[in-house]
Amino acid sequence: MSPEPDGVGALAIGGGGSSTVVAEHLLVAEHRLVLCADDCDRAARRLRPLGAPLPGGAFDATATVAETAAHSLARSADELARLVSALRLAVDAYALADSAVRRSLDALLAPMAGLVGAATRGLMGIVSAPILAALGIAAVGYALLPATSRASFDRSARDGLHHIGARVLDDESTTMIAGLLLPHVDNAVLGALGIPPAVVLRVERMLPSFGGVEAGSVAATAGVAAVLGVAAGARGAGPVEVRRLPPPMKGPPPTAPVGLAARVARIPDADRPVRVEIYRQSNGAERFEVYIAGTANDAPFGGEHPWDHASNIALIAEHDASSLRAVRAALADAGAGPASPVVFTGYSQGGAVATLLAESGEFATAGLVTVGAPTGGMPVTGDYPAVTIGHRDDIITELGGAAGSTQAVLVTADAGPRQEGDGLLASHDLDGYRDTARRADRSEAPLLRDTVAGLPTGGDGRVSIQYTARRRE
Amino acid sequence: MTPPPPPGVASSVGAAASAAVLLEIEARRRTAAAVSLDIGTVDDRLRAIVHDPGWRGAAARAFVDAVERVRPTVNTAGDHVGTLALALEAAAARLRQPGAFGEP
Repeated sequence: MSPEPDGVGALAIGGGGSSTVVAEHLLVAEHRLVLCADDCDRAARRLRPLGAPLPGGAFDATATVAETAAHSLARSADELARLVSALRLAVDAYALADSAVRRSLDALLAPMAGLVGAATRGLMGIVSAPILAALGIAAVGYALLPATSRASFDRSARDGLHHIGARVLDDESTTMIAGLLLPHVDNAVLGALGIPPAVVLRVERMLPSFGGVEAGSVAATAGVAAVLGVAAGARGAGPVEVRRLPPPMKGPPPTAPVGLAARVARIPDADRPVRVEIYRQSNGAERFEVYIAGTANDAPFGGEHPWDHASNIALIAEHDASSLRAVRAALADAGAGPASPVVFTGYSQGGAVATLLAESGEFATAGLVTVGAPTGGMPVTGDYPAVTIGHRDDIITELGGAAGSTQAVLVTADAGPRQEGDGLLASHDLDGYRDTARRADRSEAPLLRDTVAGLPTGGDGRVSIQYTARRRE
Repeated sequence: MTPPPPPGVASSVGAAASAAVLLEIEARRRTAAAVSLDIGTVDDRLRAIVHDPGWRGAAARAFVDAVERVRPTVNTAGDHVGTLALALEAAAARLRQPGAFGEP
């Protein structure tokens, strides 16, 4: 399919109670066929009375024509209804096959991951000495190089790594493999620590879940990583404080966003990672829109900035990450309470924060929009409109694991072709997600269209507040 | 379709009943015109399905062919209904002419 004018290719849409995404054109075709069948059936029923003879037998031929047309339309309605059933059957069969394949692969990979971890441990024991020796020799050789040669070597190495990284990380296959393997990293780690795979599997079965975190899930894997991170001094769940930025001079009040793109466009940069807008509804009550930034990639791990990778690990482990605490504090500062309707919109780490807060029950969640967020292991269960957008070749979205059954509508799309000068993880760029959100707003697929239409609109814009956040010592 | 000449509408049903015939014909013409528009929308939707560039593979082609096969039936019905609307309009025009109901 040729890409859309804005560079976004075909969408795939799923969720709404299932975990399978289906090509948008199938859902749109199904919807159109249903409308066509209904219209033909209704037309046939409207024409039938026109087949009755007119008083005095006038214009009998018109009655015959009406009967013939009604008959043709009734036949067309039946034929179209059969096509709808055939298409639905194909879509359901695809969803069933997709789910079965995923389950089989998971069952296969879990014990293998433990074995691979154990084998790696054994192998490292044998090869670590030669590898260390080779690395030492390489380091000495590098140190002996003239300064100009060293600089040239550095440049070549950096360009090479960038080139390989761009090819590997922004590839759909890499994303798919990551999604399959990540949930089993904990098994591999435990295997590498010397715990026999059989024991790991038995313990997993004895502990089906802990705090909503399934054993063998990415959340469990991240939990292992978080424990290791905390042991290493990371502070992903450390306390934070937020500060209001002074409002811009004589800025107009905010206008309520409509749809997905208008919300994604308001996601702030990580240097002021939270934006809260307040609208007064017609009943006088206030409603809130909160926009949450993605990770600050240059923030030191466990440092002052709460939007760092330490928070990422804590979030994926579904702990009270520092960034989540900051958004909670910002909403409290803006006046949002347990009864306040809040629409959460977030990108990447901000999407994970948005999902966890939307599901927390701490607010009257009125909507959720996430883009490029690692939220596969964070199913939406609440009764509110939720849309999760991810790119097929965005490996960050896979860090949360494959999406389980969720009430959120899942939208996936190609990020569009790489451009000259694109950096690593170009498929994760927020600008690309802004295009995809625009594309999703135009979708005719009923599930997506109705969900977007269910997001709150309107209200008298009161104020837009931007917040900075810092982790306390 | 040219409506057959009314076989002495006025003489067979009387003036009051003829007025009722005219009203009925008008109502039927409006229905036929509305249905004709609906059928046009149906064909637009079916054409959009057929021309969607997202279809790939043999199964998709078979499905698109099946959709394509429905279109002539729908279009023929649409032609019939369009003709019906025109015929009813002509009939109504004829009945509206002075003397159609036998008045002086």
